[in-house]
Amino acid sequence: MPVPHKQSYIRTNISLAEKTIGSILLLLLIGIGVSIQQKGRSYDPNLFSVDETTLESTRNPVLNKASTLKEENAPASGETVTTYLEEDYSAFEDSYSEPAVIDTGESVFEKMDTFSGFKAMSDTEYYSADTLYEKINGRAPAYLGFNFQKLTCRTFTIKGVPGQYLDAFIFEMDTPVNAFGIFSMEREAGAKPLDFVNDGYRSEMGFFFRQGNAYIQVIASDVSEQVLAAAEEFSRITAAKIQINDTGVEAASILPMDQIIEGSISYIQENAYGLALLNDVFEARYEIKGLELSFFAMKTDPSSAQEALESVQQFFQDYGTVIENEPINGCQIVIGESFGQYSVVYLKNDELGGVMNADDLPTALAFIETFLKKPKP
Amino acid sequence: MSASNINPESKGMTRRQFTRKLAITGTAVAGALAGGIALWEPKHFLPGFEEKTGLSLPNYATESRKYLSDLAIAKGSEREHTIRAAIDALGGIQRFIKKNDRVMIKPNVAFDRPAALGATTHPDSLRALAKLCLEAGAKQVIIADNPINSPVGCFLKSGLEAVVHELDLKLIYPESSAFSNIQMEGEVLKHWPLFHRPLKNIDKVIGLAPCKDHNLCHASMTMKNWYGLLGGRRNQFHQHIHSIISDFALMIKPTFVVLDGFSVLMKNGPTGGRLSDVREMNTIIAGTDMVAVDSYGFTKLLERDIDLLQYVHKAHERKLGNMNWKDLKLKEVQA
Repeated sequence: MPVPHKQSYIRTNISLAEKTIGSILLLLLIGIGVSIQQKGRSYDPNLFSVDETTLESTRNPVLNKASTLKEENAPASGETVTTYLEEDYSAFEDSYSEPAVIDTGESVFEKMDTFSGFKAMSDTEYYSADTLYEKINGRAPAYLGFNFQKLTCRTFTIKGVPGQYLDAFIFEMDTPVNAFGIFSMEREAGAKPLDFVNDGYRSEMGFFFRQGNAYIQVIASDVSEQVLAAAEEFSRITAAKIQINDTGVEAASILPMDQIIEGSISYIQENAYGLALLNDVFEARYEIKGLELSFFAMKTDPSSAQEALESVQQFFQDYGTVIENEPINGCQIVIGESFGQYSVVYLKNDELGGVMNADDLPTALAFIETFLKKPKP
Repeated sequence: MSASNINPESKGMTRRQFTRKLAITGTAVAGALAGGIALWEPKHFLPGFEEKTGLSLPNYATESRKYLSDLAIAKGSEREHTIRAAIDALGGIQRFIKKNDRVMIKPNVAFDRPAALGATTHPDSLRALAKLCLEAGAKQVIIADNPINSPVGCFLKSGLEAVVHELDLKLIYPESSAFSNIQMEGEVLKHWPLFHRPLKNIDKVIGLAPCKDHNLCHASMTMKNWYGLLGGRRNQFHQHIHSIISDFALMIKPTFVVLDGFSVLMKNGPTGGRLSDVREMNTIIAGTDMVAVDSYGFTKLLERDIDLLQYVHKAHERKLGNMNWKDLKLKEVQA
């Protein structure tokens, strides 16, 4: 019997249920395809955006910092603000009382909303090392280089002088030496020294001084005598509130005061004159018979001082000439010449100092002899 | 053979039938997969892959004129007269500002300092420039900046707020909603929030910057002035300060810029704090090329070696301006 030709398998008996389920599945597939295509055409950024409520705590990382966004109580664009400086002082009550002297760890501005004759115009602002740039921007690295710890600042209006104000800043460093360092780095040459602090001066438009480990700036809005008098009063009050601490700054007192160029005292934290062992150095400039000399002093332990002196000698042996010299007044002396300039360095127990890079050796040597032979108080 | 020999209900299928159906099904599945892959856009579903978009600023510069200077240096004893003299040396304000123009002046009000300390645009300079624009028929003059310190305090203490009130200008403070993302191919600046509200529907943009020392980049002048249009945590750009400043010359093409060298903050910038840091140089520089203007200001006003100013070199190399200011059509005048 011949084998019949095999035909394609055709299932003709398809149940209604099967047809229904099949149709539903087909429609679903089409629907899924269309949905995916539509969904893929538009991106919803909210799917992966940050939940900003979680960042609320970081919006104001510094208490009362001056935000760069518009303040909530600021005027709308176009409105003007004049009320800040037009305080009615008729209701002003002088609530000033003599405060106890406090450490700079607690800001003076936190304690008082009003000083005698002044009224806070703004909230107190605080800045840490991480946020200092938000107040002084590109100037911040200079302060950070002296181990800046904290800035407290506030603006005060002046009683009886409408329209004028004082900006007060307290930059706290880790040590009095570092406060002296940043203070001296920004010091204004030839400015009049203050009589109520060891390190301070009056500028044309403000007062700048160091007290303890704080560097304080009181900047006036105007150069008028009335405003500057108020700024001085404010500075005195502020200085009185901060404990005196000159730890580490004693080396500055080694510097002779005769013929010193006013305002030239500075602090070099490390590598003074390019020498690795000359650290925590105080330097001043002097005018001697028309010549300018640079004199430095540092205090350390005797062995470190000896080591530093030997490094100075080694430097001149390597890069210049060492000139032999007898001790002066029992102090070891190293005289070196390099690139046509002369340095005379002495060692006295734990104290190292000397004239560096002078153009004239006899003048430099005479300066050191006078300094070492002068009886100390 | 009769039709009754064909049994369509026979159990199972032949190997050939199975292979055929498998091939058809496989082709259908493969086709569906291919279609899915083609339709699937990974950037829409994986964070970080989305295409970043943002605005770009129009070119606010006017056409260069053959017989007019592009760089003017004016010296004088009074600020407003000197600014007028500088603009006149460029061909007059009418060269730049037309009747009914909406003008934005971008001062540098970064810090809440009194004007005398040289850390901010001087109010007399703003007054002079704004008056010139109004005299030229400007429909509106907008003043705006996103300062480092509190905006209200900055505009108040610098004295600029008083000028705004005096001349009935429009002052726009930075608010959260005033920022839009800019998109550009800078060295550092690519996709970043920009203080855009003051620039909306603006016809002309003028930069008005003081000339001052800067601790990080040696100087803050007309190019760095545009930092005040950035939002976000812009401090991170300090690590690439010269690159970002050169990017500003790509970001914005202002109508012209004015470098106020009347009172120059010579040291302790950008904040200053002492009048002794400020030197009276009695000079105003105005120009259409801010790279050239800054180059002049750095060498002649701050009296420094141009080799120190990396951002000017970068901008010059990127052909965003000409640091060789002597090559420009230059005019020096005495007010």
